[in-house]
Amino acid sequence: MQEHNFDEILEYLCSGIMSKSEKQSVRDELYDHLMCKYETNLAIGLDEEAAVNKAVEELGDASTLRFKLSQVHSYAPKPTLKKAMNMLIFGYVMTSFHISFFTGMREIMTFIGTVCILVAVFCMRKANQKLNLAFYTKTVSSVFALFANAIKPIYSMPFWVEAAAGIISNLLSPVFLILLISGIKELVAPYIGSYPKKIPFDFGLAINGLWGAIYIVIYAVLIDSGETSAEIQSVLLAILLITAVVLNLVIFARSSKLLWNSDHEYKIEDSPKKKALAAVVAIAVAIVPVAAVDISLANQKAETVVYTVDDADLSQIEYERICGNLLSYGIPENVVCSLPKSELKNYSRSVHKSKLSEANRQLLEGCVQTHQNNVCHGLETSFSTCAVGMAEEDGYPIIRVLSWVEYKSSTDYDYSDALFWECDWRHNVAINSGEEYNGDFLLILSREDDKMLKNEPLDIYTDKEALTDRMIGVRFEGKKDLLIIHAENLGLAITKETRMSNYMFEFYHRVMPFSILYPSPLMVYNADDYYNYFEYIRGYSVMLLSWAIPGDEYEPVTEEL
Amino acid sequence: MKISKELAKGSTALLVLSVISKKDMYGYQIIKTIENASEDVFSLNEGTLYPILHSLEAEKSLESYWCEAEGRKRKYYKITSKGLEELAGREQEWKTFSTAVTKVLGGAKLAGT
Repeated sequence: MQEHNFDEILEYLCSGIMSKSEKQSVRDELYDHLMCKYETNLAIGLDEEAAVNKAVEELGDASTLRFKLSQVHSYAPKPTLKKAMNMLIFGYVMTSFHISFFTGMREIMTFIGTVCILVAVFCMRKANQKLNLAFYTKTVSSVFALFANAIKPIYSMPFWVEAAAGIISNLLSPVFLILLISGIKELVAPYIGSYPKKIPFDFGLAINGLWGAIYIVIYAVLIDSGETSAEIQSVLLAILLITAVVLNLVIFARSSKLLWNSDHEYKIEDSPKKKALAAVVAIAVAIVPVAAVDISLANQKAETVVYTVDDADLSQIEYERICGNLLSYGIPENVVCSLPKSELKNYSRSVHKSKLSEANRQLLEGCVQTHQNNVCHGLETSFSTCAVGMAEEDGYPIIRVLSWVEYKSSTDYDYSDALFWECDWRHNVAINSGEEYNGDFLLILSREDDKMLKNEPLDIYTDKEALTDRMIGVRFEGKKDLLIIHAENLGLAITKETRMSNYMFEFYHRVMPFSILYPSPLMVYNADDYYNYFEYIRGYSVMLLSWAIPGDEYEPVTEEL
Repeated sequence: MKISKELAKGSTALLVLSVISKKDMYGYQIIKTIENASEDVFSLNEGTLYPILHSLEAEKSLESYWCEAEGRKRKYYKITSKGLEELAGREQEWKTFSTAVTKVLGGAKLAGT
C-alpha cells in the first residue's frame, strides 16, 4: 500500500499543541486515521487522488478540530491560571503606576512588578502560541532593560546605543501587550458568550498598537532630526498610556473572572519545575556576569586627601577681586571658597556682573533663561538666540562654564554614583576643541569629621570623539555630604553664526544593588537653585564670561594696584 | 435517520467508553464500530472523537498504547477501572434520563388523546 503524505493538513491540525511530544503523538494518531480512510476509499473504487481528497474532506472543519485539540492539550493548570492572572494584574499595576514615598520605592515597585509579570506569563505560556511568544518578548525586554541599567554608569554609552535601548525597551512593551491580549483572547474565545460583560479585546489591541506606532514615529523623528517633540510625548502619550493601562486592566480582570468561571478543563504540565529552572538559569546566565562587574565597581571606595585651596600663587587682592566677580553672578560663597587658586586664575579676565556692557548683560540673561519641559523628567534650558561659542578675533574662547552639585543626605550609601555632563553637539557648538583649551576642572569634596577631604574619582569618562579627551562624566563614591564642582571652557565657535545649545547634567544615583539606577538630568545653565526630586541633591550651573567681551569695563588688576 | 447534534452531544463519551469497554480499539475503528452498531444513526466525526478520547485519557478513564499495524504506528485505547466506574455511572444516568423522557413522551401522548 502506498504511503501518503498528509503533512500539510497534519501540520495545521497540530499547530495549536504546545508540547512537542504530544504534538508528535497526535500527529501519528491522525496520520493513521487518514491512512485508514484513504485505504477504505481506495477499496470502494476511488482513484488515489480522489481517495486522498475524500479522506481530508471527511475531517470536516479543520479549524474546529485544530482548536479543540489545542484546548484539550492546553497546559495551564486551572489553579495556576487563576494565580497567574492575579499575579499578572498585580505586576501590571506595580509597573504602570509610579508612586514614590521613599528613595528607591519606584525602582522596587518596577522590579517586583516585572518579576510578577514574568512569572505569570511563564505559567500561562503553554496555553497557546501567542502567550508563549509574549513570555519570550517580556523576557528579552526585561533582560535588556536590566542589562542596559547595569552597564550605563559603568560605560558612557554613545548616542546610538541609548537610542537603540529606548527603541527596544519602549517598542517591546506594546508588542508584549499585544501578544498577551491576543493570547488571552484566544484562551477565552470559547466561553466569551457566557460572560455578561464585554471584554474590550479589539479596542485594547488597537490602542496598544497605536502606542507602538507613535513610539516608532517619535524615534524616527528623534533619529532623523536629533530632537524629540516634548509636546507630542507629554500630552499624546500621557492620554494614550492612561487609556491603555485602564483598558488592559479591564481586559485582564474580566478575562480572569471569565476563565475561572468557565468549564474549561486544564491538565497539569509534565515537568514545569524543570522548565522554570531552565528559564531562570537562562536569565541568570545573561545577567550574572554584568551584575558581578557592576556590584564590584559599585562598592569601590574613594581615596581621600585633606583638601587645601592653596595650590597656586595668587595675590590676595587678585584673589578677592576674582572671588567678588564670581559671587556677583550668584555663585554661593561655599562654592567660591572651595575653588582652588589654580582654578580661580582661569577667571582672571572676568568682570563683575555690574560692569558688563548692556549688550553682554542681555546676552547673559538670555543664557540663563530657563524653559521647563517634560523631556527626561528634568529641567532643560535652551539657548534660544544666544551665540554660545562666540570667539574673539583671535579665536580664544570667552566662556567658561562652572557647575556644581551639592549632595546631602541623612543616610549612608554603600554604592558609587555617577554624574555626566554634556553639551548638545548637534548644533555645532564646539567644546574644548583644540588641545590648548582643554581646561577641564573637576573637584569632589566631602565633609567628614569637620574636615574637607578631596575625593579621588573612581572613574573618569571622556569623550573619545572630541579633539581632546574631553571629560564628560565621573563615577564617585556616594557619601552623605558631597560638593562636586566641574568647570570647562565652552566655545571656540567654528563659525560666527547664531547657535543654540543645551548643556545638561545627568545624575545616576544607585539606590540598591544590581544597578537599579536613576538617571535624572539636573540643570542647564541655571543660575538659580534647582531642586530636583531627590530632596537632598541641589544642583547649580552658571555660565561665566571668563574672558571679558569687547565693550565690558574690563580693568585688569595688577600687583601694582 | 441522523440524530441532531444537540441530542448526541451528551452521549458521545458514553458511546465511546462503552465500545472500548468491550475491546481495545483505535480511533477509526471506534467510529466504524459505533456507526455499525447504531446502524448509521451515530456518525462521529474526527473533530468530536479525538478531543473526547484525549480528554478521557487525561482523566485516566482510558489508557493508550502503540502498536505497529500495516507498516505504521497505531494508537489503541483501553478502558481503565476508573473508566469502567465512569461508564457505569453514565449508563445509569442515561437509563434514568431515557426512561424519564419516554415517560414524559408517553404522558404527553395520553394527555393529547
